[in-house]
Amino acid sequence: MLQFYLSLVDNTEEKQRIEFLYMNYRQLMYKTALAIVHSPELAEDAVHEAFLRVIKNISKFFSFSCNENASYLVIIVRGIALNMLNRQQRLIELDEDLPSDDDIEAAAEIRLSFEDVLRNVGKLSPALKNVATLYYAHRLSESEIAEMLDMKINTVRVSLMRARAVLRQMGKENEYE
Amino acid sequence: MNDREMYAQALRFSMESDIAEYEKQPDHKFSRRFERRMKKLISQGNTLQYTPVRARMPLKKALAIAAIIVLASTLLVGATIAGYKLWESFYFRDNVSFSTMYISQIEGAPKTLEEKYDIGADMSGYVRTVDFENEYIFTVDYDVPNTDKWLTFEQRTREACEQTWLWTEDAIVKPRAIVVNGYKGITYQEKTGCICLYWDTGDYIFGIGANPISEEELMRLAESVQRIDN
Repeated sequence: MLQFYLSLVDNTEEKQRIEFLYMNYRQLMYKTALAIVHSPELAEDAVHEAFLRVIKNISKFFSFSCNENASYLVIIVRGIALNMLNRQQRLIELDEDLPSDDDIEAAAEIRLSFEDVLRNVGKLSPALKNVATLYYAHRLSESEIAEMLDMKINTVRVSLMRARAVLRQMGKENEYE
Repeated sequence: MNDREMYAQALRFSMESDIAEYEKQPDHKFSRRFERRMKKLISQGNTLQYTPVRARMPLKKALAIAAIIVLASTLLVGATIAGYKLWESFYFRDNVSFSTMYISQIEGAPKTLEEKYDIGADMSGYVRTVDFENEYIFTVDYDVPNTDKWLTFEQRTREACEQTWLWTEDAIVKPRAIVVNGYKGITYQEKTGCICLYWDTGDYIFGIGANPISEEELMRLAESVQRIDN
């Protein structure tokens, strides 16, 4: 098999890290992709493409804990699988109605319970959940999210705005007077 | 807990639930093609981001590190080092536990792949897939469906192979010099059974690896390599 190394020493630690991530998380990443694309071949392609992304961001993976590794890898492969599905089905992203400024201001005054937020998280599309998780749970900046998910930074900003709108929704039964 | 903390906690909880659901599914037996692609990807690592303008390790430091590794390998395994100067710009050193290929005199060679090459011989029976392609590296996989037979062809700029590491430890057949269409190269058989062949045309470095295959058949395929984008 053809195998090349450009640098004798510099990338050894990175290679070991990549190997570790691959051996420990490839099944999880495959199952994540398969749940979206429903095709074993496409799911394998998604995992391969996800590792291309991981390699480009490998320096970030040195400082992640095990739980964070799993979360990052799931998010990356999920984003790639969604893009594959969209290309396959030629889906056109519908523009959701964004809340008006008045609605946002009104929502900000209402205190949501954790159960409300948890229920709203369940309403997030996988794409919005990816961005929101990286921003809130992993505290990545918008530019870091754009780099990790290979998106334009404006797309990240719009996704965050949409995610916030969903997260702040109040069910009628929970409205405070 | 403020809103941001609540969102963070809820999203973490949701992610943990998602992961738990995915992990309930049965494990997948990955295809051989996928395993090969991943092995190559992991080995190539950051070469995927290779650009000729990126700052490289200073030569003195590279030589010092190489010397340390060579000395350490020698002391550890008690073996002798053989060096082969195959031609002026292509130097191969067998360090027992690994081999290094050095390419020099790259100034006149194309900085990017200005032409694309591929195997010209009849490859019917094989399924051809372009595995990787950028301005410096072009890799094509050939697989025979429902069998373990495979072949990989690769074309690289000389600068992209300036210092490369070859997997020759425990090789079934040790590296030796060969000639492909008048161009000098090397061939060896890895411990996996894969026979590898690299040659330098002065413009590009070509490589073919295949398993199972005879050395004669591999040489025939190497000699059939031709330009495909004209």
